[in-house]
Amino acid sequence: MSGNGDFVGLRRQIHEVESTDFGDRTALDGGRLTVSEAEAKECFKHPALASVGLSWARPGESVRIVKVLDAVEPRTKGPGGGGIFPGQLGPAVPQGEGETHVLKGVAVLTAGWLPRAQQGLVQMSGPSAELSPFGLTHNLVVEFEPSSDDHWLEVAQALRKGALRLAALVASAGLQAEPDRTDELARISGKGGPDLPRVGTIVNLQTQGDFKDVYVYGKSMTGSLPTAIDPNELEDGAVVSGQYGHPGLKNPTYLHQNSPVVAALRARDGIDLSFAGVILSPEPVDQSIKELASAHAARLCYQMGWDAAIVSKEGGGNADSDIALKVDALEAMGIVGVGMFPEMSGANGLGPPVVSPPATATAMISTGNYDERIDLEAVERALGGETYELTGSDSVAGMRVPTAVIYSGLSPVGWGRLTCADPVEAP
Amino acid sequence: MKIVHYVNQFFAGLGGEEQAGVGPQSRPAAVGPGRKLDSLLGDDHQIVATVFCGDDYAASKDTAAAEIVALIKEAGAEMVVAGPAFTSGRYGIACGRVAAAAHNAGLSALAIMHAENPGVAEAAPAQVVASGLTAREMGKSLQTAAEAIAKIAAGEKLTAADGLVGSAPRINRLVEKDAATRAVDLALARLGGDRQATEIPMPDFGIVHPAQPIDDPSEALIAILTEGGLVPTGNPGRLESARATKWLRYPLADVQELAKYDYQSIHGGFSTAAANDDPHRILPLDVARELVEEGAIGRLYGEYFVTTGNGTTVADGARYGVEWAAELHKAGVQAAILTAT
Amino acid sequence: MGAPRVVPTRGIPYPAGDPTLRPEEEKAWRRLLLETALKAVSTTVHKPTVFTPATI
Repeated sequence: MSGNGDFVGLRRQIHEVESTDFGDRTALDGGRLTVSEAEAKECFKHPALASVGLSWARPGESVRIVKVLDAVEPRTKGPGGGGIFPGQLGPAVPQGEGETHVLKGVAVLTAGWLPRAQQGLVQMSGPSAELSPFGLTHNLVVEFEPSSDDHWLEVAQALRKGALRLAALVASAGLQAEPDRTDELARISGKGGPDLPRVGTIVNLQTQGDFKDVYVYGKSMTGSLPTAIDPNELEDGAVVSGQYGHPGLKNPTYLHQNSPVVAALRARDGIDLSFAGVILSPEPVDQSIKELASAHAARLCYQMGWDAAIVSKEGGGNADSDIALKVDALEAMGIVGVGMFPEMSGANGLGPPVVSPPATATAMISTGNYDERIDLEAVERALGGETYELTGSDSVAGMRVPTAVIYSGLSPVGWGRLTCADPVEAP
Repeated sequence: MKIVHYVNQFFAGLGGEEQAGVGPQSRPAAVGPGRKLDSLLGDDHQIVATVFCGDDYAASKDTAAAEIVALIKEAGAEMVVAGPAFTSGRYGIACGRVAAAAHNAGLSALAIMHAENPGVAEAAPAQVVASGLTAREMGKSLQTAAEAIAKIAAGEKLTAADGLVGSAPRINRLVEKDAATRAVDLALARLGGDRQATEIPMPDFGIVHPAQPIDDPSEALIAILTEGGLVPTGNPGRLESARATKWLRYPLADVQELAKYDYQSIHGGFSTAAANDDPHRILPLDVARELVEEGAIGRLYGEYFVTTGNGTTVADGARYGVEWAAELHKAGVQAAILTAT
Repeated sequence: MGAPRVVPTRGIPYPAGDPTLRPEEEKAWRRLLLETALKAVSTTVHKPTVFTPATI
């Protein structure tokens, strides 16, 4: 490791991307990114995929992307990826140290039909664009044709690995370029540190089987107990999404690489809190295992000396109880638990906001009401499919939809600025 | 402003429970508590008519609110004021539904009842201001109503200070900080000792006032009910397995026992194997019949009511409870045993 | 949730039974639940009150 002083952690080399296009080679020159279409398509060579199509969807363009499956930020640690997305592109060895090149402002998006997937959309222009993280990024959109209709799980896997490979390929353009800035992200330590409250985050990952699973170092957390992980491991893609339900409540790979809660805690680290780390937990299907995982997560926080934990989820009403049980378990141990809830208050906003609220831990953040209807203006071009089955209309048409379909629009990991409440100010 | 006042049979001076089944009727000018309200309103506003209806009729008949609003319009209303209903469930539901229907018909509408009355949830999009718990607080409740009416007539917005109750609608808006940053702020506020800070208030499930006990079960008409999703096999009424939007009634009069394969539970919140193997595990008809034969129970009500208690909203649950109570009351049932899953 | 008179039973999927018992035992248990419920509706209460079936 080339280091100055005794810094232990990850150096994030940030390359700001201003414009994007296809070109003869994959390269980054003064904020201008070109991607070789031929190289990009190579990433998806797999018997399960008959063909893929690539397009750019850029901020402000009159484009809608429908049936969005996952989004990945281009990152690499060296030629061939250098260990990025461990357990997916390479062996499951711990990452989160050394250097990682990041192409900021770009995302690789996969879009199309998969079983159990619910149809999320991203609008690139108009007032709805800023409701999704990907209404604001240059998106390299991957559409696909399966080889047959019999092997959807293989299609999903080929698509997922292909998108990760493509993200690493695109990021390789940054290896030769001078970064715009370098962030030094220290490894989390439980020792020493200033006399400030220790605050961390518990990230619940959906574990509901094929097409509804999230991978940690390449494996589902189904059957696992909660575990502590260094936030820098998230930066290097240790958590990858294979979960395609609940578009508005979805945590794509991009938001694990760029965890908003980790960013918010880092921004305050050493100022009014001490960033205490990240715990990953499954969201078990069975109630008694939910309770076990929640009690265990609270004990981990207690052992690590946390004073407060921010708890996030993925999924609908069932996953509300994964937050509720955890914040209640934390509260019982004298640790402040804050739950982040997308509200389900009905189209008129008069229904109860949370299906399964906590019993004692009453600190809750609203990420918006997912039932509220919004109007999307018609667009010139659509990617991901010609028809949008939810409304039964042409994908380019003007439509009235619940906020719940905006991809990551009510981000349970806290990306968005939607709420139904007056924010609470810090003391 | 021309106001039509809505009250129940009791406050219209017709009588108590024995008159709870009467349908909607209209009288010119103010009646009962309306007279006091009319005097509090001064010269600017006037109660031009009083429309009233029996509690059972209003709470259990689907078309009741529409019939009542038709009479209200006929009387030339510009505004409808319903109540005060205090904590009376059926009356509160009726006031809430009348206010909602009037609002939707383009009239200005206000309901008055206690904040924990299940009728509050029925009133939206019309507004509700708080009354006291019982009619002993009539004077104060009418004062609140009169002030709210004056404000509405002046085109002003009601606030909690005016006694406005019911949850404010949860409406999306964009704020400056992302949710993650606000979550950190909230954690620090809590660590700083603010134990109330939150963006989502805890749901308030309200209070239920216990009914008087019955004198002697061996003389009583008793009903058995369930929220365990038990329906005749095939689910002819299409009861939902979760988030039920309705309740159903099925006959028991000629049913000696609930035979396996004749009934099934469609509840989506638990394994229904045990229930389907013996439906009496959900609805204890076999033992209830024995107790009737032995004289421990006077008579068994000839129907059972069923819904699915699985992800059902509290507002819906409270409404089913009030509707069941109205139905059973009308049928002379004195006690009900409800199995809860 | 504030129900004024409550008789606790043994499991969510079988509020009026207990599949672990033999059939005649289960019916006796159901009978006891109902007798307890009749006692509950004949008793004055002022707040939510639990009536525990007196085991025989």
